Amino acid sequence: MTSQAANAVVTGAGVDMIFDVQSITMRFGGVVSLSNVSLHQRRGEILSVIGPNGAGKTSLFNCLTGVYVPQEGTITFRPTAGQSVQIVGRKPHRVSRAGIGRTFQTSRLFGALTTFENVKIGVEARQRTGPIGAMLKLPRTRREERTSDARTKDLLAFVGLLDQANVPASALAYGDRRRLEIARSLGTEPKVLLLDEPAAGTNPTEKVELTELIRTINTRLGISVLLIEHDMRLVMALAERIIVLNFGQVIAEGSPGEIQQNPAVIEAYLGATHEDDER
Amino acid sequence: MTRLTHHAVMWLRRFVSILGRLLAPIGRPVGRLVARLWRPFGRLLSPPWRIVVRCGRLLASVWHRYDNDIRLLGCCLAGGAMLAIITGPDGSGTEPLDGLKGSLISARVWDYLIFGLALWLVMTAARKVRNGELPAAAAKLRGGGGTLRTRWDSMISSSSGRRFVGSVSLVVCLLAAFALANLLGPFVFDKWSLGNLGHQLPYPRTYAYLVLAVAFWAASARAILDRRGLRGTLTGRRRVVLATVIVVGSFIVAYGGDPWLPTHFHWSNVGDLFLHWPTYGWLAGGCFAARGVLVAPRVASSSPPVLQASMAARGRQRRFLAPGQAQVLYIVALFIAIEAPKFLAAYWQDTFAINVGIYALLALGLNVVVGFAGLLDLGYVAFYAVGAYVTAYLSGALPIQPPHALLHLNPFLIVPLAILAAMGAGILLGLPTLRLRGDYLAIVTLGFGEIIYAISENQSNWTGGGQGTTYIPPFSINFIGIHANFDTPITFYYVILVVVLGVLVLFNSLNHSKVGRTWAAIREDEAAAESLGINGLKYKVMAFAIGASTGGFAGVFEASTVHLLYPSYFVLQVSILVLAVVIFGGMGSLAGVLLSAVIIEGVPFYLKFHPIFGYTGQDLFLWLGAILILMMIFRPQGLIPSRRREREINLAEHGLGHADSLLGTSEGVLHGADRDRYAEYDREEYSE
Repeated sequence: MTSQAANAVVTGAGVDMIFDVQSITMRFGGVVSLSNVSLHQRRGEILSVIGPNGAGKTSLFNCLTGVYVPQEGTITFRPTAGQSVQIVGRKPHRVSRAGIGRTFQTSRLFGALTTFENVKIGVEARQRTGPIGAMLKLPRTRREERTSDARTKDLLAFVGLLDQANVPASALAYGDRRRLEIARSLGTEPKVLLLDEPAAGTNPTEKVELTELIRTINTRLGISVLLIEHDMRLVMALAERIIVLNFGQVIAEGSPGEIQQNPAVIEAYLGATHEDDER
Repeated sequence: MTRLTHHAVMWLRRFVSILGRLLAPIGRPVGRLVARLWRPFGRLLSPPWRIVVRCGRLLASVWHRYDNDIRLLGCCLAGGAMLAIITGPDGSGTEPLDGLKGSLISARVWDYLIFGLALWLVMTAARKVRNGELPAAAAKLRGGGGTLRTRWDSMISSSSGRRFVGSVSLVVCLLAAFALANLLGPFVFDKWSLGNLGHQLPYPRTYAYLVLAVAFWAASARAILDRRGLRGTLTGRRRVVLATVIVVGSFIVAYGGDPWLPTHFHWSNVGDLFLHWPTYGWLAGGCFAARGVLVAPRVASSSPPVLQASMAARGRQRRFLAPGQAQVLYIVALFIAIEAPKFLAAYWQDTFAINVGIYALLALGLNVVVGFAGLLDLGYVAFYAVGAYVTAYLSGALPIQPPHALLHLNPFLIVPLAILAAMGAGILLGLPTLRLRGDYLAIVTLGFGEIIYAISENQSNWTGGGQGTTYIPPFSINFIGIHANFDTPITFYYVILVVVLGVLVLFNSLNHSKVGRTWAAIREDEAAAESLGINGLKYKVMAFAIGASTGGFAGVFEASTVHLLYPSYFVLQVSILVLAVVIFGGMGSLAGVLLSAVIIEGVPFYLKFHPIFGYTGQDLFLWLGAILILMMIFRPQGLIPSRRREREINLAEHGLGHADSLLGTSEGVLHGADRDRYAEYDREEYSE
């Protein structure tokens, strides 16, 4: 399996990579959550990570966003073609500033704030206003308020939540919350968006809308998308390439068609079907 | 069972019918007689009875439609009557309960009632229009129907009707101005009559109050004219003129309302106004009102109508005061804060300046830490002590002297230095400790407070130890010809009023800025906030530094007004008391914290010398504890809750999120072993 992953890196060497993960290992005490995982993502690509429950998908996300620090391996992120940023050892907020946006498996909105404020916080995180400017309402603060208001409105219109702008986030429907989380993340102007099970708990209509939204983000905004998802229809509709994790290891990699035929994947999933159905 | 009852009823019926047959010969004529005798009375009484029924139905429908408004009216009028009783028959407040009858029959009670009525009118109108109730009513009217409710709504939503309501409220406001002039003025009449109103006219103060009334009406009831504010009805130039009139009017109010000045207007007196603090207060109030005229209400103009309706619906359900009403109340509160202390005894001025004022400042500072950022700081008194001791040091009152005699500074000049020192202490404490969460942070800050206390107690060659320090100079101005000492309670009161108002304005804009929103985000979910690129530690330290510098500021006031400094001023109890003020008022709510400072610090001083409730002072904390427990049971969000906090508490009641952000809620900043442990937990949770 290691050789397979290594092959992938070699084949991708000449292409513009946004993520380059080299054999990371993440251990919690004696339990190995990620073992020698290598993967890469091309710029502008929708890459999907799938696998049965407990395969280490969320651990991988947490490593990529700086929440966990893997014991071994390197993660190189290239915000633009020329730059490269080492993720391992960076605090989550600095990872985010480098250009990585994420959503969470269980949506973690600021429930007591309004929809508008939720997105605005993401937009404002990039601005420079400090406490003194905020207290005295200095010209720069006002200017930044105006730009962030406009941008927040644009983002809300983009995900179709403008009519719910002043509703507390906790009062939104489930699908709307998912879209709001994506909008909030887009506010930070990411180069790559990490979506952790965006379709969990949404109904079929919302799933279709969500698929369209993710595709638009990818094509119109030019943001690469890294997607963890259990809903195979959504994954097959969106992903250009799929990586399959099982027990913390990459067991397969390829286009949706190849993955569907892959015997290792079928075996891994058949062993875990009943778990899958619980979701 | 049912069978049994059925039989019982059958037997009862039979029994009654037999009894009826037996009694019929006597009963029938008696019944006819009674009916015949009643008939004329009935004819006579039926029209008034019908009126009574109709009135009852009318009242019920009015109550059903306007119950909130009527309740508010009741509150306003009852408040006026209460004020009349509290201030007593002669207005001095010396014999509040003895002169109960006297205080309820004089003209004073009418003054208060008219004032209450004006307040209610303006508040109700402002709320109705802000909530967008009037357009909705107009739409309903087009659908038809002729009940009282729609008739009233049609009147208020047609332009002539609005003008009518507007002019009625103007007249009431003008009457309220006369009432105010009578309450506070040089000439006080005992009975309300047109002639008496005329007697008020020679005094400039009366005009001051009239201008105030117009300003008050225009600034808050502007909504009566148009729901977009005056912006929609008046041209730009007219609005500017009106705003100017209001600002100038507030200046005249300062002139007329100030008992230190002669009652008759003279140009040579005008310059003196600038030497008195209340003038600045009035000018600030005038600017606030003028802003109301110039700037359209935000809610009405910027959000789509659907939203407004939904917000209005929620506003009706949840909030006692709509934004428009709150604005009116703030103007009134400002007025009371400026005018009332002048009429109080020196004891009360002292209480309000030193106890209420300083605690308000302390509580505002702690509110940034606890309310805005959601961090529990139990050692807040340490920053207060730092401010006080820096003041004592720089004014040369401590055993340890500044390196140069030139450094013996006036407290005004010490303020920035003390703020910097306290801020430094805050950052010093915050940087290492704010990585901790919840309970751990509380314990460390508690320890820090005790360390500062121990230093001030034991390092007697620096701080004077338990003997304390004396002769700390008061605030004073000695600057190109202007000499002023702020050593009487009333002058000091105005200094601290200006400072508290300034801090209030600054913190209000802070709370509604990027920084305030970021704090709210961190409070709710630090991991999510960090995923947006927010440096949690930086913002927490920022909150600590701002809170600490406010505490240091309060310390300067403590030192330079009491002129004394003892380590016992900086014990844990003070931290707890300030925390109690914040929680009682509503964490994160500036208005609530201020009100709570007035109540928690003011009421004990009132009760101290009360003939019935007089207490020895030893059991203060006992009562405070009881009040806080009741508060936590019945109103955990505080007196005047902040909207965000209230929502958080509501979410927690439904099992979502954590209202108690004082306890660790976030999983974002975990390092080393902690992070691993969390990760394990995380993994277990997710793999289920």
